[in-house]
Amino acid sequence: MTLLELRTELLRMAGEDPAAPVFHTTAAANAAINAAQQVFAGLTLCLESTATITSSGWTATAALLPKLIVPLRVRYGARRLHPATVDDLAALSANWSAHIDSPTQYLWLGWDLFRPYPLPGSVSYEITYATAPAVLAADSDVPQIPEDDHHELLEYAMVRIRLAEGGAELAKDTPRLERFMAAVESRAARTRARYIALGYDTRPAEKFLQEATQRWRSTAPAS
Amino acid sequence: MALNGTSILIEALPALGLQALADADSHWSESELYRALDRASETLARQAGLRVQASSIGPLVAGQAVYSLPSRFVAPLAEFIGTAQVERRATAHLEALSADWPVMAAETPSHTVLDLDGPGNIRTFPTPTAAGASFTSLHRALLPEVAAGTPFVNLPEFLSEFLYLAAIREAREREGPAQAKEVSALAGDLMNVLLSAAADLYGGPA
Repeated sequence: MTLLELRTELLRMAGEDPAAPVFHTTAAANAAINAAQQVFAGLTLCLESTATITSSGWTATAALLPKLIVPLRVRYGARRLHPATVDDLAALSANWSAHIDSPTQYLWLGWDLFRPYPLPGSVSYEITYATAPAVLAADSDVPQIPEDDHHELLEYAMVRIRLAEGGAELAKDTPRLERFMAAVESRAARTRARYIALGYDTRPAEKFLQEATQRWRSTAPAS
Repeated sequence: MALNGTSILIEALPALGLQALADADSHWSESELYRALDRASETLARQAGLRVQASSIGPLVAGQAVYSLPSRFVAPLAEFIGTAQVERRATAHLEALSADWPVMAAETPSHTVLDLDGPGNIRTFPTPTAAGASFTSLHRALLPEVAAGTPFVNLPEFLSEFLYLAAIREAREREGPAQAKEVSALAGDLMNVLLSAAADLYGGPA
């Protein structure tokens, strides 16, 4: 679906004339669709990308990988590096940070702090990472998340634009979050299975997604 | 990605029934919305462990045991003197070793203590007798303050929605308990989902 198609349907769902919306603007509808896609990608980690960065020590990667969500795999040349913790490295030697050699492991702390271990000097690493989608700006732009899930973006977007109204309108549409979270949970499960098969170092969360879906299932009217 | 807090607040204006940020409601001001964004980014740093940084505490000074922690410090991960990672110890542990531990000295400290000299300070043990070695902290830190004059904050893009919801929740809560409390409640619920996701991905509470 294109941004235009999604926005047209969203505005119709909100009771607006898509060609001349009154209460919900085109910009607000576009923002809601974009927010839905960003949240979907953040919760499911369904989009991935690969880039090469150079590191000579502690490296804040956000400036190098602006769409980074989490790292999935790190390579040094053909060699796959394995994730480690500070405690893992401290257990090897108190002087682990001075160890100079070809790297075998890496630290990834918080969102973006990267450091290979051992440190070979300033060299390049291939980082495969879960990425945020591009912002939908032109009417012809198509969401990057899998096509099966495009329609689910409307569920979140609808609730988001209802935040402007509150009251009965918001209450009527809040159960849509259950459908959105169910789609997130389903996509996350498929992504998780794929990442396990690929041996990636990070996977989409499981338990809290089930809890979140359950949270809004309790608000949905009995069918 | 560097998210722009001003853009996030402008995006929230329709949900708050406003045309411009300057058209502040009588219940809240523009600066209060920026503070809501700043508190939200602080929550992400504290509860999700989003930001970790390695910072110099400074070179060791002979005879000086206590040093100031880096600004915006939240929680320690490791400390290094020179290239060696030193062990952190509780005061009670060192007191059990020797009643004289605070006056013990050595060329290079082997331990650090965080629970004795107040929240902004770190102590080395033994007190260094040699100067010049680097003293580095690897720690969780707050993100830079978000304000009208400094609106940019580096976050994963999907957490832009966390800040957006925080602004709406803040505005609606300030309007009083009878005003759109369902909006602030739902915004809070959605924030909890995003915070749980961030904690799962980035390390969780310190």
